[in-house]
Amino acid sequence: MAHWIVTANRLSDGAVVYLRGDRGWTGDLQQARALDDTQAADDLLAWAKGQEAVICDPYLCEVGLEGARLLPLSARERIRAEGPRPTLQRLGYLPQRGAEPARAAVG
Amino acid sequence: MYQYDAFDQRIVEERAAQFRDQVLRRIDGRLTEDEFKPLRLQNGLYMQLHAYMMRIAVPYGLLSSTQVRKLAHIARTYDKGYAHLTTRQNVQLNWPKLEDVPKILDELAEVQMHAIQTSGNCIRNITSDPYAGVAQDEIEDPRPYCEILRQWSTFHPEFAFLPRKFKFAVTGAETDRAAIAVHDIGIRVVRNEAGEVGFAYYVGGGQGRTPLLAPCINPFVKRHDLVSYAEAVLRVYNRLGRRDNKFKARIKILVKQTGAEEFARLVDEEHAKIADGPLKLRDEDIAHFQRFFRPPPYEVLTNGDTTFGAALLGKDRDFARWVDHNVAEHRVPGYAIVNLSVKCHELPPGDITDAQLDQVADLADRYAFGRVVVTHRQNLVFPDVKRKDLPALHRELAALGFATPNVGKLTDVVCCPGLDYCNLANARSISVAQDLTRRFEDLAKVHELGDLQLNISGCINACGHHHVGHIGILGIDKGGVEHYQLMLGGSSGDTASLGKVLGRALTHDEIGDAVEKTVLAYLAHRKDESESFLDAYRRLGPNPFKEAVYEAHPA
Repeated sequence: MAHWIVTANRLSDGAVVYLRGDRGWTGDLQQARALDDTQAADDLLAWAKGQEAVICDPYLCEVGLEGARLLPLSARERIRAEGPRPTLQRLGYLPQRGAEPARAAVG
Repeated sequence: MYQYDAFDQRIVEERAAQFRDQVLRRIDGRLTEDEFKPLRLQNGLYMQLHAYMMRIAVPYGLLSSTQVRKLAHIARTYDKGYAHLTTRQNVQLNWPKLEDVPKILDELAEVQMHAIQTSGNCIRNITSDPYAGVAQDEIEDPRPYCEILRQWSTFHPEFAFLPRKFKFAVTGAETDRAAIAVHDIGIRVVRNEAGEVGFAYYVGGGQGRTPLLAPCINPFVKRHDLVSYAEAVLRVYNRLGRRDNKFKARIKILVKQTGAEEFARLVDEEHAKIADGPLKLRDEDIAHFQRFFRPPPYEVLTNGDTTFGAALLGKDRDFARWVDHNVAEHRVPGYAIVNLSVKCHELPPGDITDAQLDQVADLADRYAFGRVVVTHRQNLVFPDVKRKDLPALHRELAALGFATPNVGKLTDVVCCPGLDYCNLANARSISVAQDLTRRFEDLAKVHELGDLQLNISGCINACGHHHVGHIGILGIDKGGVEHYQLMLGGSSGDTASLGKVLGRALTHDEIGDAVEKTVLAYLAHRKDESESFLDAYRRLGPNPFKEAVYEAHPA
């Protein structure tokens, strides 16, 4: 079954963010609120579109579930979630995303 | 090098102040993202996958050491300690914070730089021959003409909202190192039978979704008509170019559909109305701009000074290879053009750290009259180095990681940021470049292959110029999975051609093997060592390569 999350880029620095169940924004995909109801997902997106003070261009992203773990379904979303290539991570160019994946809130 | 006057300086300072206010209004909510987006794009600020990206203009690729030091400072202070050299001779920052961008613009303005018209449907940064001013085969230095066109196109009110973006390239040499055939307007400085200097105008080339080579619509535009003729081309395009379909909006589509001959007639008709107007260049206008590009104070060197000694070439194999591949002939005796290969194994092609930028600036001051050029193959050039200084410079560049003798060779990979950074990309390109660089680490093997240009783009927009790579790789998305099309036979030089897709798209795991098989097929089928990959492909056609790549997996 398809699940949807809301994602965007943070206004201040463009960082990838996901919408949590408590309507806060997180950089950790695993903390995203995942919904299997398209109407509920659309409603959440409509709410996110009102958050321009902190984010830009929110959209719905389809994810898979492996147990409680959220999995991006496209290469684009996987790279958005993980950050660019390992070389840059080794060189310390990248922000460290949430190291331990938190349990996903599945709706 | 062009130096800003008070008017130029005011423009860039006011632009920075204007953008500071726009950023403040976006942050405090007075501007929506939809309102802000065109404003930030006009200042070269994109939103990419993980962060903002800022594109800084480097007109015709030319930088002073002071500007390079400033870029190092900006990369260190406002970014993550590195910058990226682009295929349009610009510089990009991959991680600026929104609130820092006005400060970056202020800093750039201090050294006569900006990010104006590095995005949007306007006339973009004008590119040129990286050997401009020092090439042996140059008819005239193209940079004064580039600068004239830059000033004409900056904030040109009529061309601020063209149907699509618009790219110029200008070359003054007989050998095309500026890829003029794949630009919206490619200009070649020419001399007619009477010995007068003028311009051949090639219009309607480009890569992207519909790659086309530009036809020559006028073989000789008079020197004084450089700007008025460009204005006429832009006016015809602005009037007739499609605005209803983004994918058919570039001038290349208009020229193709109209026909080059009819398009030229329309331009001539428009030009006749404006040729004798204020855009007509006077001799003194041209002379004014040429003064900024006078040669540096070259020493008159004796024959003894012009060589570093055959003995050294014989003894030091690394140095000999570097001279052979990375050093080009200069028009002044005793001097040489030095290419810096910004293709380190550790970093993506064209990435350069703040420390490296600082050291490049120092070396430019010590060896190259303080001048550096960014090339469209994502390398750097020192245009004026004394030949007797080459051994010392080679040692310093080797320590810096920029002396790999691979310029124009397979591991001199041109590569867009791809899906690691870019919002438009379908597939990663940097990881493919790094894999191939590792596979061909053996320099002897690379040199055995001769000139072989590899270009990789992460999507159809072709920022990695894959259509004109001898071997081109295009990243595509197939059902959410990265795939790559292998294209062979492209070239951006004097015999420009567009690569052709070899067969079915390959996965990320397959593409490296496919390139290796392509290279082995070339070695097996070439007439002899003097036949380049491109010549062999043009003689043989795709079949031997297709058989090699798809042997086990028919296309």
